[in-house]
Amino acid sequence: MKKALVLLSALWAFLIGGYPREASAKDIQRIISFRPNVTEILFALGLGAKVVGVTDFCHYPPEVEKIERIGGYFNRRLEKILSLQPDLVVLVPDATTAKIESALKRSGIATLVLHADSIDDVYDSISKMAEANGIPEKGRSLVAQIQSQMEAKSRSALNLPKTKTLLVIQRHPLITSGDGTFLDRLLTLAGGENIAGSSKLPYPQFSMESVIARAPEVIIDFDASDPGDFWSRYDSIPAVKNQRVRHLTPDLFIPGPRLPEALDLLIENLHK
Amino acid sequence: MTLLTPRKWIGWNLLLAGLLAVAMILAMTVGEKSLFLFTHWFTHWNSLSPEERDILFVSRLPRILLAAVVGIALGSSGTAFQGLLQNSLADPYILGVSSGAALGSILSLALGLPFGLIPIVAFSSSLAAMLLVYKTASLRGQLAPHTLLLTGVILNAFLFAFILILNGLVSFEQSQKILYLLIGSLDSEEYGRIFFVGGLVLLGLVVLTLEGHALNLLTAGPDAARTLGVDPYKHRRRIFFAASLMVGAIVPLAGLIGFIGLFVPHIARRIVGPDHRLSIPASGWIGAILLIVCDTLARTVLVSSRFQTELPVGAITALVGAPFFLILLKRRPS
Amino acid sequence: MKEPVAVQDLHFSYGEKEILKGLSFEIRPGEILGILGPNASGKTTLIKNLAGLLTPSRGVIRIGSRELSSLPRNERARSIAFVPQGEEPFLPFSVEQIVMMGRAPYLGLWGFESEADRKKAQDAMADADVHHLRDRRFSDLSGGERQRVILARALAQEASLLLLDEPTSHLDLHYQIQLLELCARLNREQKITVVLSIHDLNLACLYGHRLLILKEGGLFALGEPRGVMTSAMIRTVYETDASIGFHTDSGLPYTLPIRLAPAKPDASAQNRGENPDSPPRYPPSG
Repeated sequence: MKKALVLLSALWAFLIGGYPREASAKDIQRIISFRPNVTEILFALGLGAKVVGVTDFCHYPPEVEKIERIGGYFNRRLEKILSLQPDLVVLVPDATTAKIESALKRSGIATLVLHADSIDDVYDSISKMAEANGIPEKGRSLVAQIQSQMEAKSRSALNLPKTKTLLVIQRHPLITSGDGTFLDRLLTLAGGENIAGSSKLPYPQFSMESVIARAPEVIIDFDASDPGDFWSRYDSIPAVKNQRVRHLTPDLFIPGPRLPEALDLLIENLHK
Repeated sequence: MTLLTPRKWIGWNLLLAGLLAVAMILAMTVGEKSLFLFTHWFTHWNSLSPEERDILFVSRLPRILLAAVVGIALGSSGTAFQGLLQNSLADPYILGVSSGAALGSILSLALGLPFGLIPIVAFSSSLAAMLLVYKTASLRGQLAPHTLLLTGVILNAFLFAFILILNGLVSFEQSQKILYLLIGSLDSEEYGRIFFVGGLVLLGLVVLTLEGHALNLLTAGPDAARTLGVDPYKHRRRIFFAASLMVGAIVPLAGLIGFIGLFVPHIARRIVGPDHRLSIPASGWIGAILLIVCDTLARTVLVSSRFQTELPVGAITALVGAPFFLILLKRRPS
Repeated sequence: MKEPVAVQDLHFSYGEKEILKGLSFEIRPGEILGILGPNASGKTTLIKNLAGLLTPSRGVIRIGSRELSSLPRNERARSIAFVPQGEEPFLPFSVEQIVMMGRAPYLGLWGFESEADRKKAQDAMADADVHHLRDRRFSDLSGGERQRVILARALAQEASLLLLDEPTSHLDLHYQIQLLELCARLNREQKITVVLSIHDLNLACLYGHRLLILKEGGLFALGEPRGVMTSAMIRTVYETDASIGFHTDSGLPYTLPIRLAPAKPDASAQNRGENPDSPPRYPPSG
């Protein structure tokens, strides 16, 4: 009787909580990525061949185009994920992943939860990813490489005078990046001064008046749509008057292994 | 004496328009940079820095003008729709014209059309929605309130379904834009567009005011209206098109700013009475004043705090409008 | 109304269903015409056709020599006023505002009411005995008061033909009489022709100069009350047995439906000494 009860409760626990598997490194042959920067990290670590599923928004490196898609942000397809029979799913937790995480747990699929929202996170994520796949030395060397590149570029940039900059996440209404966010930190490293840096909100909404009042010297416009002559109206803004409004694609500016490239591009645009 | 006389009509309109002018001037002086910028401007007319000039005339004034135009449109069309549909809970978005505009904006966004083209597409799709509602609801040659209401509600649901689907298909950044579009914003609009839309809104306001007496009669019922010499169908059609045109013109620029169209008709009726000849222009002025106040709050309240962000104007309208309405409700039992 | 209203072969259908089947009669200027008939006999439909709210499928209505359908809307509103059964305006208009709406046919495209218009509205309210209510909200009034306000609005139209659709249906007896007295007075003093549909046969007899009886959309009888109100008519049209009496003072007829004979008296009741014709007692004794 007691035996039956134990068996029953084990079965119950399995059904509810799933069978928590910690996949050992050598068992991992099939990996699914939930974020573009995660995908880039996987490829940078040389694990590209093991990646069997990526999001609709993963486009780098170019080989990624041949890999199966599992959905976007709100619409990841659980069935597709399960049909790809992954050994490991690498995800960054946010509002869109909660449900799918528990579903994966119930199916007994190993998940690696990374935090990849800031610059420091990048180094941490690379290490964790490398560990989980049994290649810790590769992780260490990649981290070291990125870190040294970042330091070198930043050192040279910080010698130049600080440039007051507006980072435009969305143009209309104007959404910018506040203190402590990834872009804000990157901007600081590039020798720029975020005019929204005193806001404690990650994505404050600014009126154009605030922008005019803070007089940025450079405007980095990450809004995907073509600005047209949107900025030309505000010609009292130094950045507009001196034609230092730069329209950049945001794809490069994610917390991933291409950080040095992103920093380079930012420095170039700040001091040109 | 509850009757409306020409003197009363002129008096109220002058008073409310005057209040609107005052509100606009005050709003010009308020903002992130220096409270008394306007008085400063008066005394230092020639020595305004280009920065101050830009703040006043490129940032604040277009925003205030747009708020006035949108407020007039929402207030007066709200009153017109409530009368047309015989329903005091109707708002300008209830018949689906606004959803048509929103869908047009979102579709252009999703297709990556140039920024300048988006309002044009949105306006066209709002006109399409308007015609669709009209054709469907006037099938029996009636344009009766409950038919209009039903048609509008169904179209709203239908168009919003498309919006939701599009939201799931676009990138994260675009989906953020969609959200902001639906919430609404009055910032950074060009004078040219504001004047164009303002012209349409003014036209609509004139037509609706002229239809005021017919609206009064329509609330007595179609039979009563007919025996008093008024053709319900003809007038309903005019009112529908004028009010829908106003809504279709402002949503492409300002998004879906809520609550003004619902509250202001009630506020106006309590202040000036139910006669539409006055309540329509009055609700226009009151809507404009309320929206300017709300937008000014939205762009100043949190700006000096640690957050330094603007608030969505549609949220402020609800926060300000609701208590104000409750006060009015208490003063005169309905 | 100076001119008679002639109805010629009036047919009306709602879709496939024909409601009015070829009515022909004349409304004499200055009379009070009562329209009677069972439910669904077409009373309201007839009144609405006379008001120009419905278009006949066949036949014609003439005012004098002109056809009703050819009259421009405004002119029609100045000649014919219609009082519907119940109105529920959804906005808080005052009584005065409601009555002022009656001046609409005189206002033109967009205008304000003149002093003259205001005077006419005041007079109409006085005639309908609602002047003391003029600042009250219409929705706060009782049914009878509301009916009189709508009547005042119709009077403000200065029409010479007044059509009322079952104006007494939802009123208490006192207010029914009050309204009909009002109509009679307006007819007498201002020479307004009144046509009203009414349920109550007795009241119809008291106030109508002539009565028009409808049966299933057809004209059954038209004439003075004494001539039209017969047991035979009531039997045929209302499928009821009734006896006709006559008011001792006016000589106008009234009807009394004959009660169905009570059940055969049972033996026990007789033994108890009870009167078999009196109403049964409750709770039953014994």
